[in-house]
Amino acid sequence: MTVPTALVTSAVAAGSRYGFEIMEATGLPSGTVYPVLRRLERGGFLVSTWEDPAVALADGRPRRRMYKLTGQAAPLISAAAGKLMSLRGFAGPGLVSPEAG
Amino acid sequence: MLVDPGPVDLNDSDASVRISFAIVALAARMVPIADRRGWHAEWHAELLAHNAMLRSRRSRNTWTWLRLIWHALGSFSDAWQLSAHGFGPANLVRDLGLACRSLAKRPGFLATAVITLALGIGANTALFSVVRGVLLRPFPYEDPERLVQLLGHREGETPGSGNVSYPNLHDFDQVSATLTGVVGMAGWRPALTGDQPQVLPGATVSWDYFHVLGVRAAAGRFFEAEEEGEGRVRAVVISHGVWTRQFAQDRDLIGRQINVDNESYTLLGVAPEGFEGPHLISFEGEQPVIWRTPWFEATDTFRSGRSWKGLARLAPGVGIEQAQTEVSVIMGRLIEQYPEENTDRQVTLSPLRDSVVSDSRSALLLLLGAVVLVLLVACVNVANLLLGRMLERQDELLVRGALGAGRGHLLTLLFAEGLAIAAIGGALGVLLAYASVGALVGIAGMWLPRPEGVGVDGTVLAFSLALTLGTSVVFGLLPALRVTRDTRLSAVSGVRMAGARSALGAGLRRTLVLVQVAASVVLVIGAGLLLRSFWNLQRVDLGVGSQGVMTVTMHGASWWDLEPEAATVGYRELLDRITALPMVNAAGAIDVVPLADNHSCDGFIPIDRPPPGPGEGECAEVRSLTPGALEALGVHLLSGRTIDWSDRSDAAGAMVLSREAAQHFWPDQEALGKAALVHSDTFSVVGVVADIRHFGPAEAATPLVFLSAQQEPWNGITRGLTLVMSGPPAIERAGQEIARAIQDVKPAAALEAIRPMRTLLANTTGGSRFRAALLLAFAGLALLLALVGIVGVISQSVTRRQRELGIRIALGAAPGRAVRAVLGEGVRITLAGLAIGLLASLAMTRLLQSFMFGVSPLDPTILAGGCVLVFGLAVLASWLPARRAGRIDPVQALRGE
Repeated sequence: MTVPTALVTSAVAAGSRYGFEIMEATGLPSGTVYPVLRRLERGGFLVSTWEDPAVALADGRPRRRMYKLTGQAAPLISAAAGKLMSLRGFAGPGLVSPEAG
Repeated sequence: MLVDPGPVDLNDSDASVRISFAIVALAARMVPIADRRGWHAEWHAELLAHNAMLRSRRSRNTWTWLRLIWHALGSFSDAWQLSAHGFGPANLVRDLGLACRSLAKRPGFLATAVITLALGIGANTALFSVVRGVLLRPFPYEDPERLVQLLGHREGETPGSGNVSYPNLHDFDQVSATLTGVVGMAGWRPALTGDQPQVLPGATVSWDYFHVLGVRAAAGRFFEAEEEGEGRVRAVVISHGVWTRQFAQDRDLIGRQINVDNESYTLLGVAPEGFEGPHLISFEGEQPVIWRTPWFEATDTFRSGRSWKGLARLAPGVGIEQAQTEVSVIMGRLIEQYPEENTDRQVTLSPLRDSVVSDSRSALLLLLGAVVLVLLVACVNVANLLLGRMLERQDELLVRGALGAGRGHLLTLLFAEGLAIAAIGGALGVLLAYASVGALVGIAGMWLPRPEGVGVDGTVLAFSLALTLGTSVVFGLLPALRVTRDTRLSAVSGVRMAGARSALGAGLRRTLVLVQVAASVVLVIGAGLLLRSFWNLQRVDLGVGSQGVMTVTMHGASWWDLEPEAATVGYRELLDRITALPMVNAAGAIDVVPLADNHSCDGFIPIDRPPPGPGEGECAEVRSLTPGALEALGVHLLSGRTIDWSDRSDAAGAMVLSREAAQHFWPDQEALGKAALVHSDTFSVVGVVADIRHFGPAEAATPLVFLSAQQEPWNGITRGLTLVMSGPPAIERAGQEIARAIQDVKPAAALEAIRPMRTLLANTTGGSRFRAALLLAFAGLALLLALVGIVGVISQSVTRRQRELGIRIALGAAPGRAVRAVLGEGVRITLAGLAIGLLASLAMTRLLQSFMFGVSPLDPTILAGGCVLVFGLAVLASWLPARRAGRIDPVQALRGE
């Protein structure tokens, strides 16, 4: 597992839902985050849905696409946490242990 | 599953948002159609949300402005990832597998495309291997670009043989500061004597020859300064090949004595493996393999004896112009010092590479241009074939597009087929080149310098690989781009335009065929001109017979040590023995056989004229021969007599002149009975013979003087002469009998290849034959491929117009009219191609001018003949498929729709 995949997985597990939100949480550029999301989605670890139109309308903006980990992602989440732990001195903002996901 | 989010409202006037949207819109083109709307909406929403967030966080500044654009640029990576669903190395491998399986189901199509391409790539690879071996391969010396040849010539004339005298070379070496080493070399043809005498190509070279070239001995050492000049110990250096073949690489032999020309020489050392002489001396294409040093003092020898090739190395930091200036100054001093020998002479420096390859460079580059044209025609054919096939697959592509395959995916899919064909064609082409390179070098004969380096090596393989990939892009990607463009349109509109679809690409295919016809016309006309030149060369009267004439040179027969009288007896005995053979009509011996490249210039002064001043002396090619030689060579006697055995050393000097020599030295006078000084001896003209083109059919007849070998000032009779004998054509197969007859009389003689005069003639016309044969092959190939292209286009046209023609026939049109309608299309394409090709030919045949002999680049017969040939064959190629139009059954045609 690559570090960006671990970061994205952990960020979504920690509750980030939108693409740009995940970018903020991981500090990765959009050109890295989106390809990882597409791969996870193709692998069945992630599903995407469009947000409620009423919410978007209330905020006066177009609907955003939301990402959520599936049940299949449990081993991936622990692998991601392991990968990140192994990086000495790493402590990313907003990242939690796999149990919290 | 994605839900369509509906249109996005874009009312934000912020410039960074607008730029970001434009970037995303561009990236979206890579995303498969099925995913595109959702993808677009997601990026818009995210960019807007992000923009709002940035705006709420801090005041707008350049940083936030750039940040948004930076995020938008990430959409390319995302889009690439999505399109890479079908466009990327991994998918290309998968698509290649798919392409191979689908091609295997169409063996006819596959074979046509692969063979076409293999011929194109094979021809290009083969010719490139020649260009690489001859023109591009570096000389195996230290810093070879600093080596220059010293070309001697008359003031104001271009250098011919470029020969210089050894004393002049020695003076350049002593005086010049811009040249670090000046060496001379002259041909030497010794025999390694022993149990099995063997004649070797060799050279007499200055002692520092190998030092100037900058090579190291593989064993032993090279010459030292004291090993040159009078009284020097006889020593030789041999090539690695001779060391291996003759001496089994025995290191113990280094420093020992070996027998060369019945004399004892010290074997000093061995040249490195793969050593290649500078190609200034060659024996019918063979490079020297044994070297010795001059046995005379450079200062003591004739300054007028110009029989040496000069080679030098430029001093460090010195340019050739600077060295040339100094050489001219030194030559000026040499003229003052030795006016008799040097007046009117000049020495020009030329880079070694130019000296060696100048003759072949332009011809090879021209042929390379021609062969690229063949590849173009081949590519066009394969592109046409692939286009047809892609159009057949339109339905499949439409379905793939509708199911979400992006254009990238479809392109990869179609490109994979092109790549698969190119890979197989390229591999076959390399095999073809590998098999044909030997034949190419053989056709060129002596004309091609440095033939030993011609072959399919790593560089050539890399060239073929690049060619294969390049061609696959040309013929695979271009039609694919054309087809997928229309697929996308059809998919979006959801309409299947049957008529429009089958017409799709027809225009492109016609244009491609037009290009083929034009290229073929250019090549056919070029080949016609070169073929005509070669034909003209073959028909030139050389003044000697080339059929039924055999030549053989003898070495090691100890003539050198014999007295002239004894040698004469020996030759008479030998010639009598040979003449007694049943198939021999005449036999004699001569020092230099016509057509063997050997320039000499011997002083010739008619005694009825005042002695010439310095530099005004005239010279002629002087030949030394025995009775029977001119008869055996088939030279026509015009007046007087030829040399006979009575022209002994104690008789009055007799000479026979060629007509050119007689007219040159005694214009408007009867030359018979006139006398001249040849190297200070007096000779009278006893006969005049017809002219001989000594240097080949393309060269003018030179003034030739024939002396009796018994009377010739240098005791020609005691040297090894070349035997010539004539008879019926069957004599050319009687080499064994001739060899036996010679060895009966002279058992110790080493015989050089016994060969017909025809071989020598073939060598002199090697360049012309090489150019004509190759261009003819290329033209034939291009024409064949173009005809295949025409057949394909007309077949497609008949299929496409089936309905229209069916209706016309149903309405009462005669089938012949339908055939003519289709044929007309072929004729129109051909005529347009002919017009373009003819114009291109008029411009391009000028490039051939220097290779032409006895024919004008605008020769109307060849221009018209080429056009008629291409037109006739093209109409025939159109007619074959057009016949089908006349057999269309209207009912079937309309039912099909």
